[in-house]
Amino acid sequence: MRKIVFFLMIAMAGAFQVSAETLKFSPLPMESPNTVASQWRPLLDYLALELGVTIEIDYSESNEQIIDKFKAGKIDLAYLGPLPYVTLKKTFSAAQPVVVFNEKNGGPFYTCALAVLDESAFNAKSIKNRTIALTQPMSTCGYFGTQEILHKLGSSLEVNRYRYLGQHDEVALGVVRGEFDAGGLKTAIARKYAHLGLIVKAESSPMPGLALVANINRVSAERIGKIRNALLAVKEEMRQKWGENLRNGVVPIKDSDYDVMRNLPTVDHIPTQGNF
Amino acid sequence: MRLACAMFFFGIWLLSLALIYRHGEGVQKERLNDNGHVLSVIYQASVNMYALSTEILIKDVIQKNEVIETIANGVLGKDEKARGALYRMLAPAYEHLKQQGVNQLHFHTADGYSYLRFHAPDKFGDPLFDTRPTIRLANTQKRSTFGFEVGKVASGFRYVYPLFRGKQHLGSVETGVTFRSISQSMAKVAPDREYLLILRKDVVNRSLFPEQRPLYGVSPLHDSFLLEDPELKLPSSPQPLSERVQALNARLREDPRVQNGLPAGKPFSLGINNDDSYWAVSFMPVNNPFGENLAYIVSYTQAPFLADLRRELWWTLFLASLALWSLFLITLRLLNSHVKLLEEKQRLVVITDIITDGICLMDLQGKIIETNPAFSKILGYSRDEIIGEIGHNFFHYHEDKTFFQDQGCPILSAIKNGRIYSGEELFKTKEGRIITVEVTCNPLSKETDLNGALVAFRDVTVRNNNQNALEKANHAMAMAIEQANFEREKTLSILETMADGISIQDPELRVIYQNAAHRNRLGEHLGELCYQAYQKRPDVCPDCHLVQSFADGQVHIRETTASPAGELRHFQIVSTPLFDSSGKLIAGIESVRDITERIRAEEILRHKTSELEQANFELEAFNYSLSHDLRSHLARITLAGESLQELEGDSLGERSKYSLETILGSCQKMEDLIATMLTLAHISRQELELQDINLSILAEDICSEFIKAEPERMLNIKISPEIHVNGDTHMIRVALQNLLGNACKYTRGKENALISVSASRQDGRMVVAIADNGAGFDMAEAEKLFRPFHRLSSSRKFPGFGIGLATVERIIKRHGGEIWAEAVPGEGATFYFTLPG
Repeated sequence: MRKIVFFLMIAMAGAFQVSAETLKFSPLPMESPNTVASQWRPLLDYLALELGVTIEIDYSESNEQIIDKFKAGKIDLAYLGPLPYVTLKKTFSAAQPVVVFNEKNGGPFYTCALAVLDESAFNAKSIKNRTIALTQPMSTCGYFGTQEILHKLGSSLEVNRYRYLGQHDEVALGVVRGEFDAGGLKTAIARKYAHLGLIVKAESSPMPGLALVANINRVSAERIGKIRNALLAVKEEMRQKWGENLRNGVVPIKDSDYDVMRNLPTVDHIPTQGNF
Repeated sequence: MRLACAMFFFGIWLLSLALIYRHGEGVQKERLNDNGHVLSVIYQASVNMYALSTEILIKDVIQKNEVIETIANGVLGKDEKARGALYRMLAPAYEHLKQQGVNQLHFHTADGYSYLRFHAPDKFGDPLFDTRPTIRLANTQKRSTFGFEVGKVASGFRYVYPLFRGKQHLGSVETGVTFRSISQSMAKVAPDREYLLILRKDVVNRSLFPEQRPLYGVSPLHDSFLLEDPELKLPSSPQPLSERVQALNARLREDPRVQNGLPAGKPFSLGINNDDSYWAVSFMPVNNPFGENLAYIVSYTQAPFLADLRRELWWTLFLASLALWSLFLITLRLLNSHVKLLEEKQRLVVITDIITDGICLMDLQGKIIETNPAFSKILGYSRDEIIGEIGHNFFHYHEDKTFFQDQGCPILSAIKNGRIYSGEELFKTKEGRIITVEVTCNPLSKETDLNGALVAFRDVTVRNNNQNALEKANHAMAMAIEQANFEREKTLSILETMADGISIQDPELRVIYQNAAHRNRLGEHLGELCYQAYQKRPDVCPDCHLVQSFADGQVHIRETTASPAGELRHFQIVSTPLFDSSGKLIAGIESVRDITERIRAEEILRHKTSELEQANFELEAFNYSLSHDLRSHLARITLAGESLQELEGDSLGERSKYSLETILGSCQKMEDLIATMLTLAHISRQELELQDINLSILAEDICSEFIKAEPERMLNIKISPEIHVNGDTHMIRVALQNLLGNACKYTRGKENALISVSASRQDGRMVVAIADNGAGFDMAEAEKLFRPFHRLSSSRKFPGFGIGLATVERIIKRHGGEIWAEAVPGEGATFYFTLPG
């Protein structure tokens, strides 16, 4: 009986090894799938060449979907913000951050923004019963980040009306279209729509940057090391061909770097639905 | 021939198969092209549908004043918030468009920069003219344009309209439809088809934002073409192709028609069999407004008609092969018959060609259809100039009518009536010669219909001429025979009257004729062998003269004796061979003459001659003795006279002195005469000592003595060198001294005395000639020239005894030679003599 169990384990391990030859990668659905795919493809091709594997994109529509797939062992690698990672890590310890991507400003941190169309019409005193567009519950700049900003402005989501729209650009365009009074989204993305009149009203505290997270149940430590080394050692010339959010370099990251997030009270109390 | 036929049919078969196959391929190609045309129509309908949606948008929404004003404020830089305002204004319409499948809505400035992308609002301000021809056209030519383009974000079918505020050109607006939308529309029209869009790699690479390029992968059909979103992970990606079509693509990638067709940018369709299913695959090029090929829409549809066409093609090929090879077998049989016919015809041609009779084939009107070589040879007309002509007009000559008149012509009549005609006619050759011919005319019929005649003729002119000549020859021969008989009778009469006996024997020595004299002398022996009849011998006579004549063809004469009547008689028998005109020996004539009387007369003559020779010999001996005796007495008289002259000369009177000198002179002459006579006698008696003599040297020696003796004379002497004779040197010297001495003597008085000695060889002998230009003599006295002591009248004025030439003649004759002379009085003489060379 013990021998049978042993052979089954060996066979399963072999099956995992075989499946790991094609790595499944899930990008963060921050922007449109076309944009996401076009930004990630050069980097993934580089990694595939370095590792000698094939890397497929598994596009998910929400962070929750990614987390579910990750837990279900359908994803080997994922591009996650700090909130989804912390959330994932709480229930799935096999998630391991590999590197964090620097932002355009050069550091491995980013901020969330509260974006409005008419700055004068959205002052702190009036932040009440306003319609606010959010990305996703598990998005860092969704409920989590926006709540922090509103707290800074002396308000909260609860005294306003908020709704999850999904992607950051949807949030930005929703505000531009005038469908919402404000929107919570990643600051860098909000600034991309400035030409449409979108204004960053306020920013959150810096958050750990977006990280590449590996499923150590499916990816060996050796391969994770290779991925990290490959991304750290990539030449500048090559890196400039990558997507706009990915070409600024990476730095190593460890799970403890997310402790600052874990200590925030809202982390565990994020509503999954909007309030209107 | 059969091999050539087989090869010809094989070639025709192959050609037919090729043509049928080509036709089948053509039909298939036509059907496939129809498939391509259907694709084109479907595509056009789909594209037009979206164009209609865009036009509605333009008219109903965008061309509203407030929208145009907002655009104007934005693109003209009057209002920074106009872009956002425009986005807000048109967002609902854009949503509506997206629901209809129109994915892109894009505004551009008049100078070709992106103003607002509804499908990518974060991207703006980039130049478009270089990569977007439709936008350039719309803004530069200010007209709406349509076309497929590979944009900076994605490829699509673009509808671009210029925007105006009044007459002010503000820029342009476009809508874009992805292939997914187009293919969905097309699928609604033709649900049995699947579609694929492939893009030219070079166009994609030059157009896209760099970050968009990774969304494209190598197309499954060709390396030079890309496939948008090959993993079909994007929401805008079209429906994935079925597994059967994907398997088909693997085949098409190896297909040279695809590999060569796609880069050409032309529409094409092809049929392909995969997994027992026939598919029609059409490739429709998609071009930008400038005609540049950017992409292909590939349509896949199952095509059972291809299987039907294929089956129909194989059946056609089979039936065509069957029909053709059946035709081949029939042709082969016909060919065999034709070959036999040709061989038969060839044999006939050979026969007619070698026949010396002229042959011509005529139709019922007498027109010549064919001739043989002998025809042209006899009549002189070549085949080309006579074929198709009425033969009668050309060569039939009616002796008693005009040449061209055909009325009553027996040949034409026979031809027209289908009768056989045979007879002699006159034909006229091309040169105008009239010849007699034997003509045979045989009618020719095809089945029961008379359709011409075969006319054969033979030139009998020569034969007739020969016949005439033969008759003349016979007549002449009869005359000749008559003449010969006459001559024969005459000859026989002569022979019969001849005193000589004549007997004629054939080559077997059988007596075939005897004349009367012979019969009288030896009896009649006709038919008997001559040696048995005449010599009573059983065998041929050993020395038979007639046999010798038969052997050498010469006349043989023999004398013999016989005693036919107890009296010895002498006969001369002359045997003569007799030949016919061809030289063949046919007989021998034996002539027998009785020469008994002649023999007796000759016997008496020989006896008399002998007596005379004896008397001459004795006379010469006497003469010699007498000369010697006279010479001794004369010597005493001369000695006594000279003593008297020496002792008493001075005392003698004049008369005595004269008498004494006369005595001494006469003695001297007597001495000379006696010496000459002794020489003559000596010559006659002396034995000959023959040896080779150089006559030239001997003559020069003798002449030099004469010149010394008469130095005052101008003698011109020419002696040919190296004249050699065989003789007695002493005697020949005496002879030359006499002849040359005479030449010197008889040229005295000539101012230019010429003497020559020459020789020539004739019949093995040397003929020596000694010539001078002296006094000569009359040839009438030539016979007296060599008589001793006889002097010619012309020589009497010169000294001499007349014994010299007699001596010369005797010397020459003793050498077996001859001597003779030729002369002209006053001009000179030439003496010839012969000696053994």
